Amino acid sequence: MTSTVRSKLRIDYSSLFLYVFLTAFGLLMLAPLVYMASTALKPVSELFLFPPRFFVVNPTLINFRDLLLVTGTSIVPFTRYVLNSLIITSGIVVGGVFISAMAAYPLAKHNMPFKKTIFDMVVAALMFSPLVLQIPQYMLISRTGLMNSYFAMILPYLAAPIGMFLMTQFLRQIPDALLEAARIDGASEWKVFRVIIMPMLKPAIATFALFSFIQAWNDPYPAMVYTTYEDMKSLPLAILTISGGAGVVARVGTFAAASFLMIIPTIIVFVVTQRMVLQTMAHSGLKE
Amino acid sequence: MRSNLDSPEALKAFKMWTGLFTNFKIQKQADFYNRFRSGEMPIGVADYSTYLLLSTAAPELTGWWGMKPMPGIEQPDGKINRATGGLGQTGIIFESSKHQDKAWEFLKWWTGADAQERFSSELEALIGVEARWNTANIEALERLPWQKADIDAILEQWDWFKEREIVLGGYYTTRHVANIWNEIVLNGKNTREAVEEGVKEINKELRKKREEFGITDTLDNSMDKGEGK
Amino acid sequence: MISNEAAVVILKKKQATSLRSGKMSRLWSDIKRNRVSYLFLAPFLLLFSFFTIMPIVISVFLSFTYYNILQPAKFIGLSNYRLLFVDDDIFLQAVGITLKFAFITGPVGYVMAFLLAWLISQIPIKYRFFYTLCFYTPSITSAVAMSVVWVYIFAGDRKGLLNYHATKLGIIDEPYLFLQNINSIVPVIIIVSLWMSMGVGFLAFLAGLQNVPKDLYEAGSIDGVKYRWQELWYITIPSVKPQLLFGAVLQVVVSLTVFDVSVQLVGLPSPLYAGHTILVHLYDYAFIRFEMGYASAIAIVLFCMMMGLNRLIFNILGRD
Repeated sequence: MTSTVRSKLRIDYSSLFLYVFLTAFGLLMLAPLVYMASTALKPVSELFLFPPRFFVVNPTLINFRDLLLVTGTSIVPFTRYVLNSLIITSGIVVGGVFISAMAAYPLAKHNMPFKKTIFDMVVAALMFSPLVLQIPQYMLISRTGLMNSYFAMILPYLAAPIGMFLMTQFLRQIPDALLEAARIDGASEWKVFRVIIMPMLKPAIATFALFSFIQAWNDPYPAMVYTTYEDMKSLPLAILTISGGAGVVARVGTFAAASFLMIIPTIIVFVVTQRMVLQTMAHSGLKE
Repeated sequence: MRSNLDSPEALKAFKMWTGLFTNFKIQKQADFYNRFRSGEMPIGVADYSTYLLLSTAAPELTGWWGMKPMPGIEQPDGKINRATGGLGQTGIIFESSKHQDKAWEFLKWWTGADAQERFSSELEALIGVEARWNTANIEALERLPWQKADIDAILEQWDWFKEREIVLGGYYTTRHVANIWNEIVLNGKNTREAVEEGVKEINKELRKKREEFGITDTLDNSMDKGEGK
Repeated sequence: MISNEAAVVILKKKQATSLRSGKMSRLWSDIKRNRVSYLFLAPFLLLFSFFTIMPIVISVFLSFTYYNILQPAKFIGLSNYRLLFVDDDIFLQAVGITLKFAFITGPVGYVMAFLLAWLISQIPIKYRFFYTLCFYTPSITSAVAMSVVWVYIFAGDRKGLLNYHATKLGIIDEPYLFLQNINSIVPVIIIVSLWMSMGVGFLAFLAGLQNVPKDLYEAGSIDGVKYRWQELWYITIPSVKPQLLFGAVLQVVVSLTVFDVSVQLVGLPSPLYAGHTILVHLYDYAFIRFEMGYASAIAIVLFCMMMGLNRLIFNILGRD
C-alpha cells in the first residue's frame, strides 16, 4: 500500500516475514475444516481412532450414500428441511439487513430527540444473556399463536442489535457533506437512503450478512423450540437427529458427512460477501 | 435424607478406587477402544457403546474377544459381589393431562416386549449392527440376535444390577464424586478430608431441594441415609 | 373585575404553563419534524421492543421470583440477590474465573483480531481472500469439529498430542490431565478462546480498513511518515475509530460470556468448578437445577457488569 521511502532490501524482508507468518498461522487455523472434510470421507474403521487421523487413508463415499438413504426413509422428504432452512435463513438475512440499515441511518446521521437513548438501549440489549431470554421469548411466541410458522423463526431475529450497531459505526465514517449535497439537490430522505447510503454501506452489509447467515443457518434452537410439526423443522435440527447423540456408535460417519455438507453454503456465502468487502472504496466520493 | 458416602464402607471403596490411580498408577485416562485393538490393554471395564464399537469397528478382532460379567469383590460367603449400576429412563404422565388413560396404554405398549423387539430389529435392519437397541425389556433382549456368550454374560450381570435411588438434588452426588476423585488423585488431598467435604456439599443441596418442594424432614426420616452403594 | 394581586397571580400561572407547554410542544414539534427518522426506525424498534425488550422485562421480573419453569412463578423479593452475593461461594468463584478470562482474552483477543486484520490489509488484494478465510474458519466450522481437535491436543491420554510429545522429550513421565487438573483448565480455555477470537470484530476491522481513503496515506507519506507502524498509529487507527468501538463492545460481551468453549472442553460441571464461568453457573441453575428465577438474577448481575465495562470502553475510545 505505502512503501515509498524504503530501500528495496528492507521491503523484501518485512514482506517475506509477513507472508511466512500469516501462512503458517493461517494453515494452522484451517485444521478443523480439513479435519471435518476428511472425517466425512472416513470408513468406520478409521472414524474412532485415537489419536485421530487428519488425512483419511482409505477415503470412501459411503457416508454420503448413507445420508441419501437416511433421507429416503424419513416421514418428511429431506428437501423439505433444506427448503425450510433456506426460507428462514434468507428471511433473517435479507430482512435483517434492511431493517438494520434503515435503523442505522437516522441514528448515525439525523438529529432527533431520544437518539442517544435509543442507541444505548439497543447496544445494552447485546449484553443480556440470550440463555435467559429463551423462556420469556417462548412464552411470548406461544401466547401470540405464532407457533409452527415461519414467522416464529424469523421475526425474533430480525431486529439484531449487532446489525444496527455495525451499520451505525460504518455510517459514522461517511462524511455528512455528501448527504447534504444530495438533500440540497432535492432528494427525499428515502432517496438519499436508497441511492447513497445503501451502496456506501456495502462492506458493512456484507459483513453483517455473512455473520447473520452463519448464525441463522446453523442454529437448531428456533426449530427446536417453536415447531412441533415435523414439516416445519429446519436443517440443523434434522441433522442433529441423524446421529444418536454422544456415545452412540451408529451413524457417526453419516453425521460427519451431513455436517460437512452444511458448511458448503456457508463457504459460498463467505466468498460472495468477502468479494463485496474487498472491492476497495477508492475514494470517499468528495472532490476536494 | 443424607448422603451415605461418608460411611466406613464408602470410605473404604473410595480408598480402593483412588488407590488404583495413586498407588498402582493405572492410566488416568486412556482410550480403551484403541488400546484394546492394538493389544496394549487386553482387559477392561467399559460400557455398551464400547461393546458396539468393538463389534462393528474392529473387524480384525472378531472371534478373539468376549464380554463377561464385571469383576467383583469376594464376599465372606464365597459369592462374588458384582454389583454395578446402569442407565435408567422413565416415562411420565402429567397429572394435568387430559389423556391419561391413552398415555398409559401407549406406555404399556411401548415398553412391552413386542414393540421393543420390533423397534430394535427394524433399527438394525435399516442401519446395521451399530444400531442395536439396548432395550431394558429382558424378554425383548433375549429375542434379539445376540451372540450366545454375550447374552449369557449380560443376563448374569443383570442379577447383580443395583442402582442408587434418584432423589431431589441427586445430580449433586455424581458431581461431587468426580470432584472427590479429582481432589484425591490430582491434588493429593487426604481421602477422608476430600470425602467429608464432598458429602457436606451433597447434603446441603439435598436439604435445599427438599425444602424447596416442601418435603419436611421429620425426626424419623431425617437421619435416613441413602441405600445405594 | 379582578384585583391586581389576583391578576398578577393569574399572569404568573399563565407564564408558567406556557413555559411548560413550550418545552413539551417544542419536543413534540421536534418529533414531528423528524418523523421521517422515526419512520426509518419503526420496523426495527417495533420488532426489537416485542422480541427483545419485553423478554428482558419479563426476565427482570422473574429475577424477583422463584420459578422452576414447570409451576407458575412465586414472588420472593430480593431473596435471590441476597443468596447470590452472600451465600453462593460457587458464584463468587465463577466471577473470579470469568474476570480472569476476560482480562486476558479481552485485550489480547482484541489486539490480535485488529493486528491480523491490519496485516491482511497490507497484502495485495488477490491474496487477502485466502487469509481471511483461514482466520475466520473457527467461526464457520461447527463447535463439535473444533472440540475434537482441541480435545485431542489436550487429552490426558498418553497419546494426546501434547502429552505424547512431552513424554517423548522426557519433560514429564506420566501424562498430565490438562482438562481435569484444576491448575491447567483455565489456561487451556484461555488459549482456545483466543484461537476462536477472530469473529465478527475481525471482519468488521477488515471491512473498515478497506474504507480508509487512500489520499490520507499519500498525504501522510508526503508529510514524512516513513514506517508502517507510524502510518498505523497516526493515520489508520484514527480513521477506523468507529469499528474499533464496535469491536471493543463485542469483545467485552464475548469474553464475559464464555460458555461453549468451557463446556465442550472440560464439561459441565467442570472438575471442582475450575472452568465454571458465570454463564455456566447460570445454565446450571436454569436448566439443571430448574431455578430460573435465580438464573435470571445472575443474568442481571452479569448484565450490570458488562454495562460497567462498556462505560469504561466508551470513555477510553471516545463516543463517536
